[in-house]
Amino acid sequence: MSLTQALNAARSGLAASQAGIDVTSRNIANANTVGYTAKSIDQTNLIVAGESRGVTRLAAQRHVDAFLQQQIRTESAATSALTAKSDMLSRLDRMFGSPESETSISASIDKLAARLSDLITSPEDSAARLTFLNQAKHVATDLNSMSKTVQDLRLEAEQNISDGIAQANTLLKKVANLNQQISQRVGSSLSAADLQDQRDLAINELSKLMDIKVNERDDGTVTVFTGGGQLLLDKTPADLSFDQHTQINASSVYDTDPAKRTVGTVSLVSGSTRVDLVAAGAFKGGSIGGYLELRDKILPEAQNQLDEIASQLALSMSQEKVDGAAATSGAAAGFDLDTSALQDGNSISLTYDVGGTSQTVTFVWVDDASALPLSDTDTAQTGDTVVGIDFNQPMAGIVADMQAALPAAVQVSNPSGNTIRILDDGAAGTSNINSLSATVTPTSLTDSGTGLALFVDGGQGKLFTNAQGAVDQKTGFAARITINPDVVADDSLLVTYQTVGGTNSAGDSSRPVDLYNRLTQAGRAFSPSTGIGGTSSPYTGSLASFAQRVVSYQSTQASNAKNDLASQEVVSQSLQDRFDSETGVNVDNELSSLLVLQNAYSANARVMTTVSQLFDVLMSIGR
Amino acid sequence: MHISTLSQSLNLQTSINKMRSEFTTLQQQLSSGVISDSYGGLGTDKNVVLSLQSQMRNLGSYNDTINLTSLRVKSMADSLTRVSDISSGLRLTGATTEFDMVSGTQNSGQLSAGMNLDELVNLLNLNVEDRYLFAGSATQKKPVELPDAMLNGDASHAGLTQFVDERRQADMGANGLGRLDVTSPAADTVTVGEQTGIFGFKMTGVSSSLANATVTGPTGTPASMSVQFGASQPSGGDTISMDFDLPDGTTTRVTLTATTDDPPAEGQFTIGASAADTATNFQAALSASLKTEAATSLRAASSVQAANEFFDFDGSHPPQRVDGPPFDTATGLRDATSDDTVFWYKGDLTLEPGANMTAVIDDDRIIKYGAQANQTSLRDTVKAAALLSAVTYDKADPHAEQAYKDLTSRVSTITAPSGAETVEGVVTQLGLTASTLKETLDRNDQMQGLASGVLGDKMGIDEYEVGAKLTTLRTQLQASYQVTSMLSQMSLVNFL
Repeated sequence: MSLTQALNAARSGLAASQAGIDVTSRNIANANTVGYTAKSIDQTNLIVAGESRGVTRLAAQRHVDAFLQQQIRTESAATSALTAKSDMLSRLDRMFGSPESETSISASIDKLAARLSDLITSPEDSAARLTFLNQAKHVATDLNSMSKTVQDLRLEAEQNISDGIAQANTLLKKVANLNQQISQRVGSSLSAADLQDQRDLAINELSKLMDIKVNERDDGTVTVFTGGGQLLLDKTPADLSFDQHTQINASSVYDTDPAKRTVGTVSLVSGSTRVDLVAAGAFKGGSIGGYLELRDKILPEAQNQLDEIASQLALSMSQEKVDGAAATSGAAAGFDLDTSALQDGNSISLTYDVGGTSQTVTFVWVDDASALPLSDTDTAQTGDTVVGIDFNQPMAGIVADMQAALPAAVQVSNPSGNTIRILDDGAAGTSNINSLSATVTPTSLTDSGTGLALFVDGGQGKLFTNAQGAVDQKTGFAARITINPDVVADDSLLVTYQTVGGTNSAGDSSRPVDLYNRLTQAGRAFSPSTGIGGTSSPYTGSLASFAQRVVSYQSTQASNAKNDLASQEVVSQSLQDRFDSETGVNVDNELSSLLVLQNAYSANARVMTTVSQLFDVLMSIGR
Repeated sequence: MHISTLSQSLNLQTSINKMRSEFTTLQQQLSSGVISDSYGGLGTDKNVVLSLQSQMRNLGSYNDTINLTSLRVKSMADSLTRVSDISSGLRLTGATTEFDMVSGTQNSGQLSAGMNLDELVNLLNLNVEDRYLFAGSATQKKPVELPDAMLNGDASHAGLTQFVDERRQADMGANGLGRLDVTSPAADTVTVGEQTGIFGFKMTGVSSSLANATVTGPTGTPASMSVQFGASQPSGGDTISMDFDLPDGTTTRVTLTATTDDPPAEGQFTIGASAADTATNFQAALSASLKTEAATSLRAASSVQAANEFFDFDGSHPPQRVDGPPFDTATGLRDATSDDTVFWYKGDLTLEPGANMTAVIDDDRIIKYGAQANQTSLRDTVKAAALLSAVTYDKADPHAEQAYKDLTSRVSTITAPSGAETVEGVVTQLGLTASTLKETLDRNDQMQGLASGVLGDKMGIDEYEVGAKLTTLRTQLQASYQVTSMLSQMSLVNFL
């Protein structure tokens, strides 16, 4: 034992206390810094040659629960996805109207029926006609502007995804950079705790954008994967790219086939290989995931609902049913149907039974062969087989196509002109033709029934026939639906349905009554692609009740998203609270440890003073 | 447990923020009076709210329709009640008025019928809120032609008077015998033959008690009959009766009685010394009787039929005019056109009268109502008034009074309730519609009250509840602030 040893021990004690005060002061300074974790310094007995020579300090460390951290990140991805959804859905909900002002689309349709009923009461009244036309225009512009809002929201989502991807790239680079520095410091046994704080902060930011998984390596660095398992960061960050589209409308869709895709997608670029991360299902959460879901699923569904309302509105007013005329040939009986009035999208409905089993087949006129074959869900009607027929070919070809879809006991032929004849098997008696009718959209506004093509596709007055094609006419129809310019130019068309053989009187309510019945008819089936009603039992009701369901559906979605977000926030918040509590700085703790350190410092200093005095005494002995 | 200073202050911040936003929401609710300004905010009540709001809107529209429809129905019923009064008045015209030619060519009954016609036209041209209620669906056309045009027409359009005149000429024939020819093909034989065509008397039978006379016919087309007196003469008091159909479907009978008086009284013929003498006397007496009959009952029936042909038309059957000139030898009718004839009714002809207006008064309930000026009972009332005021008489005509009586009895038949449809029936029908409307309106009002009550419950806030919540929240906030201020004091820093 020697005084020098004591001096050295005291010096090491002073250094340790200083280091402790250093860490404490940094902790206190950062007490309110988000993402800062409390650091601590461990000190151990410095043993040299089996004997203590004082105290030594280790690198400053932080205490982080890695499992809790991963949980927080998963939850924060879910939270930001829900935030994105809740935000946009509540805007969508508002678009569907507020309960007090009665501006919802269902209110508009109710009012349309009300104005029509006024027109029934006073068909000759030009004020009643104009008011009805005005309400019809209102319904059309309502649908237009709602459709525009939906597509604007989709475009906004697209932009947000683009911004998110740019941010993700920056964050990944930052993490990679920090990774490098951390591994260097850890290699030289220096404290990497503060850098790790920085890195975790960046990773937390990234987890808000997308769902990620983080693996910590022994050297203190991390690898980052998407929730779906694609590697985002190893030594170097992967490059995410997003081909943002600046124009988005109802026909813009995501498709795994790049040729059919008309919206942007996120690609993982690594060297010369590109991987479509959206197709790979990499984005399950995070704001990017939320916006993708909005862009590709939730908002298109809202558009489908608007399109369905628009299309049913147009079809209900304009379509006329043409029944087939009974026909026989020898013992075979059936029907003749003139197909000359049919247009693209119009259909022929055939009901027959073979061997006692009844079958309904709907033949749909399809001009665009790329839409063939149609599926049974292309019409909302259930229990029928839907067959698309290319009518742009000689009658023989049409007959052959129709026959191909029917059993041999049901015979299709073309007796003359554009007439199609469907007969049973006559004497054999195994089949019966029960009915044959066509649903047509008359091109003339008069002398073709009491219906009226009040709503048309676009300002040029193109008839809406629900034509099937690569892009169905129904897609985005809500954005294009407009009131027939011919009717606007001549409002007497609301009443005049007959001009041949004497024009019907101005006070004749036949057409308004028919339009009213069509509008309020309860038995309409609505397409299940709207998310309302199932494929096997589509939603059946009146147009107004369907519109009500749409409003209710959208507001339910909005309030669900809001509730989900609220509960998700509670989960996220409580995890974050726990994490912050465990890893954050408690000023009181720090202050009390400061006291301890202060005392230790004083004590060590006293030891040094004492040793110094002892040295002085020792020196004076020699004098 | 270790709690970091940051998380402590963050926690406080979050909870205070939450309370503040809840506070704001409650304030908004209190000031706006509604739970939420979006459907989403209504929670599970939104479906009820949506469907009730829709119901309220529909009920509102139904009620508007019902109010307007009620006004129309009431106006129509009021008008038709007066039409019904006029109709009963006309029925009694013949019985209550003397044949006193007050205006030279018409008596007082006819003049009052003329005034009735004016009023009828006025009533049937009823216009409420710019629509003619009795024109069927042609609501913008005045349905009934004005009386003067209806009766007199103009230079190129025939009115009722001309119809009556032409028909009279056609029915009376040039000889005034009602298109019959009374001839004597043999000295002892008298033959009565119809002329070709649809006009005049149409023989349906003959019954005779003339002794020693052979009566044949009526047979053939055109029909004829003959009376051949035998070698012995009929006895005095023997009669022969001939039955005729008149143009309007009524019948008449001409009876001649054999007498020994010379000259014979009206309706008698003198038995001569020989068959030829008797035949000559018979022929003269028969001609005279037929002439009288033609000037009275045939004339009346002719004008009634002319009125029928003028008034009874529909979309596919235009008015019928005598195919002439010349009219006194005409054999048939022709279709009138709007170029040569006044069409008294100009409203809609296509729809079923009485169901030409429609109104939506409830879910899936579209009622049809209305009355049309050309509906049978209304048309007949106009016809009766027009006919009475169209016919004129010559003071000097000895048959004028009888002709007028024959006319008024027929007019009574026209306006008499015939079972099929009466003006009263039409009024009753409208009354039933009105009461249906009233009942529906009452029910709708009730539903509306119910729905708006429930809507208020679902959409509106309970002020007391919100007030209580606000108070609780205020206490909570105050406590939180208190704690915050206390916590800010509680730091070791302050005690070192």
